Amino acid sequence: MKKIEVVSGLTLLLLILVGALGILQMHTHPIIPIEPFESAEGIPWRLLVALYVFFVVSTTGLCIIASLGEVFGFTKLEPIVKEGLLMALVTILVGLMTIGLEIEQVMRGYFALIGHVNTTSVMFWMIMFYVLYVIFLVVEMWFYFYDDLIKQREEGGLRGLVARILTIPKASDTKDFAKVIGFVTVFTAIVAHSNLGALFGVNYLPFWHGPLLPVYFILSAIVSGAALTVIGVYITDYIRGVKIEGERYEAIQMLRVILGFAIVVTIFFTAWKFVIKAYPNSTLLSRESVIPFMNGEFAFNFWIMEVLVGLFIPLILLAAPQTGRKAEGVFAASLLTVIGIFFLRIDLVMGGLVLKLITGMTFPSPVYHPFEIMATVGFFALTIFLYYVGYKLLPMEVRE
Amino acid sequence: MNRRDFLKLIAGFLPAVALVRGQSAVDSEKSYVMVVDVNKCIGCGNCVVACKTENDVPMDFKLSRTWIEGYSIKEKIPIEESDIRKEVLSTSKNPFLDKSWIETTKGRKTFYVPKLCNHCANAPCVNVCPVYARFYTKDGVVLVDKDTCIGCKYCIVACPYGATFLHPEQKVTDKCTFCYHRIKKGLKPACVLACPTGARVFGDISDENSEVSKLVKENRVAVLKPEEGTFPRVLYIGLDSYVVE
Amino acid sequence: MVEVKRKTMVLGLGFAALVYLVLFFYVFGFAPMITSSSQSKWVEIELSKEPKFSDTEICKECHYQLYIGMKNHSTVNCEACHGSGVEHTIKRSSDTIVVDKTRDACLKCHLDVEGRDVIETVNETHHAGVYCVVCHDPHR
Repeated sequence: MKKIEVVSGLTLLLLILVGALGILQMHTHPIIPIEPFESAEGIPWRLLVALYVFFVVSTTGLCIIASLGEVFGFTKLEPIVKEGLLMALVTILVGLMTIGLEIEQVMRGYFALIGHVNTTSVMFWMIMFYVLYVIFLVVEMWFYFYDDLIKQREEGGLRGLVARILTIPKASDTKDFAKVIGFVTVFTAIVAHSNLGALFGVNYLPFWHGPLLPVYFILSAIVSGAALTVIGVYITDYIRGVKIEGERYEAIQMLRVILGFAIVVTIFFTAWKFVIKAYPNSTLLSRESVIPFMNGEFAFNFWIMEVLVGLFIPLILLAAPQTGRKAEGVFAASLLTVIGIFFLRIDLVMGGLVLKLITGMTFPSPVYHPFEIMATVGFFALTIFLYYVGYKLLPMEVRE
Repeated sequence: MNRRDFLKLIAGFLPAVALVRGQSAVDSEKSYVMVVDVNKCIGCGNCVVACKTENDVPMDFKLSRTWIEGYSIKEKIPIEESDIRKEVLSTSKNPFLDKSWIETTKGRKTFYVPKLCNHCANAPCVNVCPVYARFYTKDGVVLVDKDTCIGCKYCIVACPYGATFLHPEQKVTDKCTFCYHRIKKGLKPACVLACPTGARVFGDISDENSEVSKLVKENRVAVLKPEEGTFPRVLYIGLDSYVVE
Repeated sequence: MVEVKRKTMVLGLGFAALVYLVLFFYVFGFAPMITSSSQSKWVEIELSKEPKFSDTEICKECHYQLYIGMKNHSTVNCEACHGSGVEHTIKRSSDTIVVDKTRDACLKCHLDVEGRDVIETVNETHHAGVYCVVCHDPHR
């Protein structure tokens, strides 16, 4: 392995260790003694839940984009399907790990799957459908990579071993089977994802209530899926030292169109959501729920990070031909979009809870506890690390 | 499986039944209710101390299964935020003894509202718990199965009254149980016992001769947030419209 | 969708349908049995908890004189001021019951904050620094 790989691998492992330490501290120090974070006690869903939502939206989006190329015949997107599928698998696994470590009783996490079932709980159905999604995604990837794995059997070392374990030499129609399962996977992903939206939508909190959130989440998934696919493809080719041209360039241009269009729809959604909630005819609670975003404690998160960095600047970068025609420009726009989307998750989860009365404890400002920030860093590092490991072991590179 | 499980299996396939799972009134023997008279509450906090002692909630913890909200209002239309002062008592130290509360409330309309879990007949917390750790007993009390709770905190988010919280030592969610272990032995809940003015009254509303039935018949009672459709079991006498939640 | 052979389509969708069916039968058939048994177990655990407050009638058995002498505080439960009495009914010693004679114990209810129309209140300047029980007997 090259020296740069060793160094970056070790850095990632160190960051993962930091994250593990953060999680451990979170669970063993419940009464947070650090002064400004005491009010965090009263907030039920904080940074880690927002991170979980981020990962899960990413995985759905990545699956949708990959399915556009694989299942629905967008031939221009075919070159990036492999990266998309691998990223989808990595993000859902890390996402499930995030929520598994966020709940207070980590050891009882399996209760949500085995035995203790509440059919009226939207959260339960979301977990069930995401587990099904993981099963279908793994099966789809297995069969999609099958032909290339058979070619990889010849190789030596770990790659060859993996390929030999996963395949038998005689198999046919595997790519078509993968396509059928791919359809089921994206169907399950969309069902599970709209359950996540409904999880927020059934609450009485005015910022969340209503049928809008499941639809908005699917839209947001398309934005983040397209953005993350671009990021993944660009960074992968950059590290391989390959210039993006030809088929991959066409794929990135198609993603540019999809991302641009999805951002426009998102701007439309967001604008009307806030205007209607803030309108004098809306209920008092609706109007109060948007005050933190307009000029309250969440104003920085909303106006600068979510709207400017997350929506407007990427749109300009994508639309302008000087930047949009270059792969670098699309990459920059996608990076900004993803950062904006991360803050959008925080705004949605924590900003919605601002009006929450928990025996008189309301919190006006977003509270990021240091342990949670450590855990977040660890989870991101884990995602990159797993993607790297997957990339090395699986037959990802397109045979010229 | 017995007949009940089989019926549940069949009923599970009907989404309409699965979606509206309120508590069935058919097989209940009693129907517990608490009537709170806001006119009588003096904000002394005895109920909070007694509840924490009875139910193993740490005294110095900021949250409690039951709490008191003190309202001090300068009546005006339209009222502004500065005209309403709201304080919460949920610890053993009584904040109503401090100077700033006494200063603010001088000459204004002031009253104290004791609050607790409403044990709703269509409880949002029961509907959303992913592991079914919250359930109805036959007499209408909503209990938390602490051996099943995984601490996902969805119930805390879903409760419109903010009645449930995360227990700091047990690491599961906790809430008022109407002192189920006491009422089944014929005793009264700890908060009812500790109230010096008799502002809290507990009983069985399906029994016509109980005190709660008489109070409900003779007084105008209100519930918190009726528009949520939770059908709460805590009825308030003398509730002011500024108590919006 | 892209063209696939019918056999592959049937195989794929059949596999998916099988997985979904297993899920639904598990959710609606098998799992409710586990939840109802854990819930009834919890009700038993809940009912086995020991109460920490008893009833006024028990205090009456030993402290009859104090009990019948009460006029103003007769509607107040003994344990509201004296704390949990369960240990005291067993050990019957003075260190197992709370006897708080400080001003705060009385002012907790009787301080003249607004909103206390149903009881007699007093200002905190009334003989500041002197314990209330020096002049006022709480058991009367």
